[in-house]
Formats: sequence, structure tokens, C-alpha cells
Amino acid sequence: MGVVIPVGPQHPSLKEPACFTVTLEGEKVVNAVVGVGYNHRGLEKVCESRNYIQTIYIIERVCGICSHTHSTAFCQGVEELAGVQITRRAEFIRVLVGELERIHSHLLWLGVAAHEIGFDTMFMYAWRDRERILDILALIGGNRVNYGINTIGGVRRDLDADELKQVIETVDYIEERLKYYIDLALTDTTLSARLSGVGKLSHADALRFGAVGPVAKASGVADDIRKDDPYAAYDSVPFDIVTDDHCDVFGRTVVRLKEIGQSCQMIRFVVENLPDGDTLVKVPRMIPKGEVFSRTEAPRGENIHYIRAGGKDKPERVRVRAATEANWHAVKHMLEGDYLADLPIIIAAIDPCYSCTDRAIVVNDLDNGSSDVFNWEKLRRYSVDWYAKRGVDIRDVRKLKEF
Amino acid sequence: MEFPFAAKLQEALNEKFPSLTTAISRKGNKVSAEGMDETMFRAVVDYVVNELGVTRTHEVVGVDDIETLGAIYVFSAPEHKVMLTLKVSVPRENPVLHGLTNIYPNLFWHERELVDLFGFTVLDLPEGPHYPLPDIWPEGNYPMRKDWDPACFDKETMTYTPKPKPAAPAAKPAAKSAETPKKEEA
Repeated sequence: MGVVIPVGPQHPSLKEPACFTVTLEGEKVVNAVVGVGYNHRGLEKVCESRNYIQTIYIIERVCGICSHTHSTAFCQGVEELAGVQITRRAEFIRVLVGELERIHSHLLWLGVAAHEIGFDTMFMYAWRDRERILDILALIGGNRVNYGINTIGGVRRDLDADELKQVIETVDYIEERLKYYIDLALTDTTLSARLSGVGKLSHADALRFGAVGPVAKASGVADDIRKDDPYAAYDSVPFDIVTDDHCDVFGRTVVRLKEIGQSCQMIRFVVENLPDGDTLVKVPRMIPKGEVFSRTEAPRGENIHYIRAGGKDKPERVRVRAATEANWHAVKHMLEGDYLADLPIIIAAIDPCYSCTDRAIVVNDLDNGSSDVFNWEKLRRYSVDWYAKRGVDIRDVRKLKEF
Repeated sequence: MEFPFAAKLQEALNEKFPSLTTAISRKGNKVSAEGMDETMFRAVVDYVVNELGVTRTHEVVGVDDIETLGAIYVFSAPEHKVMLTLKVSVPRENPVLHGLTNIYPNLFWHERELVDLFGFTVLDLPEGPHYPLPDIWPEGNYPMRKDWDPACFDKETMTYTPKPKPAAPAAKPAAKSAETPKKEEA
């Protein structure tokens, strides 16, 4: 008789609520029940009572990591309904931000996955490098996670020559670091032994369970909306779909690392070939009656937005199928037959989303009732000082250019 | 871009289901068909999956069409990169449909959403907890229906109290009879 262990809903390996009820025989999982829905926010209902512009801000907060890909899917869907063609420059900027977002998402995943297998040095490296991308995204959009670049009719911010130069410098840095990560993934025997054969998902099962993104690509499924149903400027930006045939967590690691390389090349192409022109065209507030399915390739795979317009300034129905929602179905299959100790990394390997924090927070002092707003620099300084008081002083390290 | 398979798919559906001709449309690599009742929907699914190679499913979208409830199933043909959406409509008073979870396990959560958010009865759907609503969600409340008003829902007590219907407008005063003396003109 098996032993039933509920893992979650609090912190089942990631800081996001989900419950995995696993039945064990010895150390092996023989049955797994995935429970999700603990954090349903009713955003789709909210969208029905907001106008299209307000809805962008709701949609951008569907995911705390890949916010841009959701707002892209929504905006291009509404633009299609309105019969509006945005400028080529705006399309290129959408690609630029989208690929920066993919790099930061994959580096975030790399750190989380490394942490799950006890490789905390890699976790520190990956998240340190990710900061460079977040700084560039903050430069472009004014924020680290919800960049607010997209609007209906194009993009809200243009990039000048100095900003483009900084983008390229960051890409140079990431490409250099990527050589180390790929070398590590392909040659380090410990990493390979820990990830190979874990969370197996065959090509047929990836199709059967509707897996998307790096999960499917690591099972040899060459699906990518950027090629299959090109949007923004992806029809003009050369890149290869990265696939792998390991069908396990190791393969998912390789795919994500190689995708970072592809994204770097794409960003370089976009910067070098950025067309001149405006970034915004006018779109009427009332969107003509109709419905549309709009798809984008998020870092985690295919996002599908369904938008139905009724001829007014508010959508009649908005439905968001995020990539993680598609990948949950394969998790049960991946868990069954594997060891309990592999559960955290198997779950983490589909890269489920969890929310990030904004760069500004309000701190309330309970003693005197005052409050203070921390901007990013102040928050970073507070963090450095906090650790310094406790014996971990990185202020000297920060003087080094390489830091 | 040209999508020859999308045109072929539209043509094949028109030929096989002539009654749907006006309800089938195509835009780029997306083909859609609507206006189907449950029986017709199952026949179309059987045809496209087994005869045309439209084998992959992506999601199900519930919609409230006021008089009917609709479920839009999103399929694709992996080899041809073509998307097919099939919309089945069921009566609002008795929204019953046969689900596809037994064929496509990835539709489990989507069909559960139809149950929780729109009040569908999905036959062949495996037992399971509420999704995405909480276990203590009151029966008979389907929040994605158009007539469900969030302002009427008390999150503390989990009760829904419909707004009272506006009172009928007061009866208009009877028309003045011809005998009513007119005001003397100034």
C-alpha cells in the first residue's frame, strides 16, 4: 500500500501555490494529482468592466515575469479587430523587448533550477547576470517587470542611439556569460547526472498533453509561434527554433540556454536594422464587433488570447491561456515513475510563473505611523547595508567593475 | 504567407457539412466554424481529427451568448501550422455537452472552467475538485455569465444577493378628459 504525501499548496518547491498529492511506493511516485487554482484572481471578469486601454494594464499583470508577451498578444489582437497596422519600428521594438524578456526569464529559471538541485553558485551567477537585463528593461520601459511598453497602436516609448548602444553592450556581456553556462551544462558530469533521465516526457506524450515552449521543444516538438504564426517583426528577424531530443530536465536546460543565444542574435539584428519612423498610430476607442485569437511565443511557450469585441470601448470577453496552463497537464505524467526527491526539479523544469515585486515599495513604520517610499537605488542601498550589519559586506565587492 | 492547408480544411468542411457553409470562415492560417449544436459538433470533431489530421488541442473558451452558452474548442494541425476553432452552442437552460477530456487529457482544466465559471454540465469529465473557484464557492453561481454581477457578491459570507429589480414606472396619469376646463388664455 502506498503512502500519500501532499506537497503544497504552500511553497511546493516554488513560491507559488499549487498542491501535488503524490502516492509513493518506496521512494517512487506511483500516482500524482496536481491541484491548481489557489490564486485565481478573476482578471477575465475584471477586463469586461474596463476599457481597452485599462485592460492592457490588467493583462500585463497576468504574469509577473513575462508581462510583455501578454500585453503584446492583447494589443495585437485588438489592433487586428480594429483593422489597424502598426508601424514597422513599433513591431521591431516589440521584438526587442520580447527577446530581452525571454533572456531574463530563462536566466531566472536557470537560477531557480540550480537552487532546486543544490547548485547555489549557479543560482547566484544566473541571477546576477539577469540583473543586467532587468536594468536594461528598466532603462527602456521605466520598470523591471511591467515595462508598460505596449499600447494599442504600437509602443509607448522609443529608443535613442545611446539606449540602443547600452542594449548591445548588455547583449555582449550575456553572450560571453552564456558560453560558460552552455559549457557547464554540456560538460559538467554532476549536472548532467543530476538532470538526465529526470522528468521524462516522450515526443508523443508532449503532443498528447499539449506541452508548449521549452518543455515541448526538449521532446523534439519544433513548435514556435514566432515561426508558425509570425507576429510583430518576427517574419523579418532570422532565428532557429531550438529543439533537443533528451526528453528530460537536462534537455529543457539545454533548450533554454540555447534560446538565450538565439535571443541575443535577434536583439543584435533588431538594433542593427531598426527602421525609422513613428512608434504609434491612432486607434479608435470603439473597437468594431468581432472576435480574434491572438498568439505569442512567451518564454514558457505559446500564449493564446481570445478577445471578443462588441463595438464598444470595452471588450465583451477576454480569455487568456498562458503557457504554464498548458504545461501543467504533462507534470502529472512526468512525476509518475520518478523519485520523490526529483519532484522539486521536475516541477521547476516546466518553469511555472510566480510574481515578481515592483522596484518601489512603501514601508510603514508601525512605531510612529510614518511611511516612506523606497525607489530602486534606495532599496538596493538598504539591502546592502542590512547585510553589512550582519557580517556579509559586499560594498567592497561592488567597487569592482566586474561586479 | 500562404496556407494551402487552411484553404483545404475550409473546403473539406464545406463539402462534408453543407449546412455549416455560412458558419465557416478563414483568415490566414486560422479556420473557424460556429453555429453547431452538440450533435453536429461531435461529428465535426470526429471528422477533422480522424480524417484531416487536426489532432492537437490547445484550449477551450467559454462564452455567454445570452440565449445560449458557447464553448470554443481550439485545435491545430501540427504538421501544417493551421489553427481550427470549433464553437458549440448549447441552450442556456440546459447547457450539457460531451467533453473531450477522455480523448485529450490536456483539456481537463479547461472543461472544469466551463463547469465552474459558466455552469456547463460536461459529460465524461472525470470527477475532481472545483477549478478555478474555491471549494466553498456557492452552488448556482457562475461568475463569467453576463448576468452575474460581482457587486452583488459578498466575499465575507460567500453569498450572492441579486439587485432588486427596479420598480415598475408609476402609471401615467389618465389623459385629461375633454371636459377638463382649459385655462383661460391670457
